[in-house]
Amino acid sequence: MHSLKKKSLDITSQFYWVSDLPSKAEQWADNRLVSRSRLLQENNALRSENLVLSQKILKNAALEAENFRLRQLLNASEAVEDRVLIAELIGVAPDPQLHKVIINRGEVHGVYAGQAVLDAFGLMGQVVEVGERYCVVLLVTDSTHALPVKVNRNGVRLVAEGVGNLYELKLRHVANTLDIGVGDLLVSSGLGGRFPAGYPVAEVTEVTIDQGRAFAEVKARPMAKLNRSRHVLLVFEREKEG
Amino acid sequence: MMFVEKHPLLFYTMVVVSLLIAMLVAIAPFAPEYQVLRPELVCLLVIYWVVSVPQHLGISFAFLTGLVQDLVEQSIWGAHALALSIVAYICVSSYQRIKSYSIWHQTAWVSVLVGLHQLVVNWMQSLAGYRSSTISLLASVIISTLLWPVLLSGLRRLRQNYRMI
Repeated sequence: MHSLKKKSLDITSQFYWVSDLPSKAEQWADNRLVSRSRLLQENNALRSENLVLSQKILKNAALEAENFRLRQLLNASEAVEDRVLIAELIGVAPDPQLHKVIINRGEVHGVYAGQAVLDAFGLMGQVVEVGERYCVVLLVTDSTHALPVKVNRNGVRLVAEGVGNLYELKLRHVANTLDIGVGDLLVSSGLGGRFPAGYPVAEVTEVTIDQGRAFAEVKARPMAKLNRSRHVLLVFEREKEG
Repeated sequence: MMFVEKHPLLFYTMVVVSLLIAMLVAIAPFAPEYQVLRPELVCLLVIYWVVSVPQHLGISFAFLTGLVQDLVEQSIWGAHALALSIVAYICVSSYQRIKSYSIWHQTAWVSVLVGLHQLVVNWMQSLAGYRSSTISLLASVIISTLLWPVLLSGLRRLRQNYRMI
C-alpha cells in the first residue's frame, strides 16, 4: 500500500511537471533575453546586498562564539548549523482550500515525511508524502496544520494553527493576561520534535482581548512568502539524516 | 457499425488523451483570484463519453477517472471518484433522453449534473475539514456549463473530420 502510494505520487507529479513547463520556458527565455543594462543593475543590487549580508555575518561570528561559550557554561549541547537541500516548487494543489505544494525532491535525495521546509523568509511547512523524485508539502496555513511556536521576545510557548488563509495563522489558547503584542515575532519552538527550533514562523498582527471570553484572539501573518517562493529549503535533522 | 467497435484502440486512445488534457487543465497554475474560473473539464468529458457510448464506458470508467483525478489533485481519495460515479449513473440511465435534447436543453441538464458533482466533491472535502464557499462552487458550475456547447461542437467536429463517429 505504501509503495503504491509512492508510485502514484511519482506518476501524478508528472502532470505538475508538464503544467510547470510554460513557466520554465519563461524563466529560460528570461535568462537568455536580458539586456545588458538590466544585468548591470541586478549585479549592483546583488553586490550591495552581499555587502550588507557580510556585515551581518561579521557580527554573527562574534555572537556565535559568545553563544557557544555561554552554552558551554550551561553544559548544553552545541547548536550546529542544520544541513539543507535546495528544492524547486513545481506545482500547487488546485483546490484553493488545500494548501499543499509539490516540490522536485524525493526519496532519492533523502527526503523523509515530516521534514521541515523553509524559504528565505521563514518556515513554510512540512513534507507529508514522499515519492521517488517528488514530494508533497503541507503549508503551515492549511486548516489541518498546527505547529508549536514561541514568542521570540519572551519565550512564551504557544500553538499556531492554519485557518485556510495564506496570510493568516491563529494562536490557540492565549491567556488574556499573556504578554503578547502586535509585531511580536513567533519562532518555531522545536517542541514536538517535528520542526527544528528557532526558525521564524509568523509576526503577530492582531490581538483582541475580550474579558468575556476565556482566551484572547491572536492572529499572525506567516513570514514565509507561501504563494511567491519558488525555491525552498529542506532542513535535515541530524539524527534522522540519511 | 460504430467507430468504437471498428477501431477500439483508436477510440480508447482518444478518450484517454482527452482526459489527460482535462487533468492538465485541472491542475494548471491559475492565479488565486482566478481559481474559481477553472472549468470542471474532467466531469464534462465523463458526461460526454458516457452519453456517447454508454454500452462501453459506464460507472466503473467514471470511478477510475475520478480516482486518478483525486490522486492528481491531492484531494481526498474517492471524492471525485464518488461524484463522477453518481454523475455517470444518471447519464447511463438517461442517455437516450439526453441525446435527444436540443443543445440548450442539454446544457441546462449538464449544469445540474456538474452542480451535483461539485456538491458531492465539496461534501467529501468538508468531511476532511476543507470547505469551499458557495460562490466558488456556483462560479465553477456556471463556467463549466458555458463550456459544454463549445466542447460538444468541438468534439463533434473533430470526430467528423477524422471519421471517428
